[in-house]
Amino acid sequence: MDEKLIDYLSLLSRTELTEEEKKIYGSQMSDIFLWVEQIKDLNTGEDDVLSYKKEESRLRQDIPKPFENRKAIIDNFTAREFDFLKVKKVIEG
Amino acid sequence: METAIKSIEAVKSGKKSVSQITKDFLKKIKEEDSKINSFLEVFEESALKKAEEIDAKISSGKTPGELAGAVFAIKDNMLYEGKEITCASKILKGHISSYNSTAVSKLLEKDAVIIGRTNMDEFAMGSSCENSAYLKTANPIDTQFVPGGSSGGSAAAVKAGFCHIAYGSDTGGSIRQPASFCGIWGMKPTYGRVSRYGLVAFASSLDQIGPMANSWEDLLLGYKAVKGYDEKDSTSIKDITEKGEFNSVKGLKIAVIKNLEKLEGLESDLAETSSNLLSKISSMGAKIIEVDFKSFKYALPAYYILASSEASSNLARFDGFRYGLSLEAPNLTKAYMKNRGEGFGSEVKRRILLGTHSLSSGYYDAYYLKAQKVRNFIRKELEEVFSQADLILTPSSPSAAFKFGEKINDPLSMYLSDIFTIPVNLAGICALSFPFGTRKKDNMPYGFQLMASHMKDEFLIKTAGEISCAL
Repeated sequence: MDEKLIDYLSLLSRTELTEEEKKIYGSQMSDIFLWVEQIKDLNTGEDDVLSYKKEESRLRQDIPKPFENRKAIIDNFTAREFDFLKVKKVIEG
Repeated sequence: METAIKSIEAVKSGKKSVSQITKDFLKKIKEEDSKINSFLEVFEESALKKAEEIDAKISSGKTPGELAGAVFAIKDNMLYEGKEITCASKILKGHISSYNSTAVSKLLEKDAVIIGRTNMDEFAMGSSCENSAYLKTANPIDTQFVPGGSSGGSAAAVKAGFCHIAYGSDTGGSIRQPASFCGIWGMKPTYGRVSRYGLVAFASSLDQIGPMANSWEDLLLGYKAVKGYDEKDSTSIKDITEKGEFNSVKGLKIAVIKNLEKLEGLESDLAETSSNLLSKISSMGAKIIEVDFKSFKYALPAYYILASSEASSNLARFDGFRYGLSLEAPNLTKAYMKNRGEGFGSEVKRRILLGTHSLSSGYYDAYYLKAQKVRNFIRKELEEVFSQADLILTPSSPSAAFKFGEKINDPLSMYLSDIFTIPVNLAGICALSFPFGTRKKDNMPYGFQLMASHMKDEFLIKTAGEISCAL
């Protein structure tokens, strides 16, 4: 797995990697994907892959419910002003 | 150490107070946990407060909850309102739970005392507890060895006698493998039996909360305490009836996987211990049958695709704005990247990359979709085995505990320690690990896994209990 692909995955997953990590992950992930390739050897047929899940899935209406401990959520804000979540400056310029 | 059941009886009969039991555990933790590091936080104040409330209830003539006298620990990925929860990650440092997980609510309603939160591999990813951002937990049997993972802190706390029962979460073996390494009992219930509400998600289609204990009776108590339908978890099972009635080991059909002893990496002592166990079970009147399980070797690679894919999605919420760590950066993308880069440890980042790659355009069909097909195949194959047998027996892990540092730089070798436990999570069935035998050179314990089909959890524990009593 070359550095270009690791850079792309790092950006896709929004996870910064150091130069050392890029080297280590590149080689380790090549080994892991080589090992994972073996799943292709199992003839699984052409079943609808999600059929099992469909039987089990229970759908519900997406109805919001009040959460009583609002203060606890607000207290967890990393930065706040009054009851507002304060977001750091994220626009350049 | 007294079992939870005995302590509950002692409280009922007035021989002991809940406060005294709690203080005894706290004293032991203070004296001994500096060598083990099983707890990330001990809830001394709230545990004693809860114990005093229960004692006051008893003194005033009221009937306490059914768990009065039992002391529990929880893994650091289960929400307990007002307490810090970090999943052993820097990215969550300082985050306080704003509500109780359903499992914690059930424990508190039944008058359990929760004594602390235990160490784990970061976000439950790992098999040695070495991936915690905070502590290295040691195996209480011999501190040169790892306790297993990811629920290594819970396993160590139970083994060391710091609580009666501890809860872990099991996505691919994270309860059973550390139970095996520490010589205790650990169980992964049927998927949907125990609510995942308030359990920080790693791989939602595989995660399950389960108990760890020093005896099968306490394991059963720990399972019953938290099981049940929960409308807050859409994957929770509505049907609360247990399947399969346990009568005797005699006459049961127990399946073993053909040629398993030839598996690469299986310790020779373990193969020998395994055949010793089989002859003992056979002498109890159970019929041992050999079965083919041809998809077995594909479970592990399929799991790493599926679990990492789900993790890469579930962990997207840790963006540096809503929880814990929050670092400055010039723009939004850089802020995400910096917070996640600094906040996550190496195994978590590796799995995020693995999952991101598996789900990315051009690779989805070859990896994720194929792994789902393998998963379905495994489920069907296991269903077929259970049409011929009541239980399946395997070792819990291919080896006894390994030493610190032995596998940390070789992720593939670390992943292989879950080879026996992973098919259970992929199929959603229940399984437990019980201790039997040791490795000759160092006396480190072996664990064996019994699997049963969906919703036969109590049958599974009781059968394993009878087997262990006769060993």
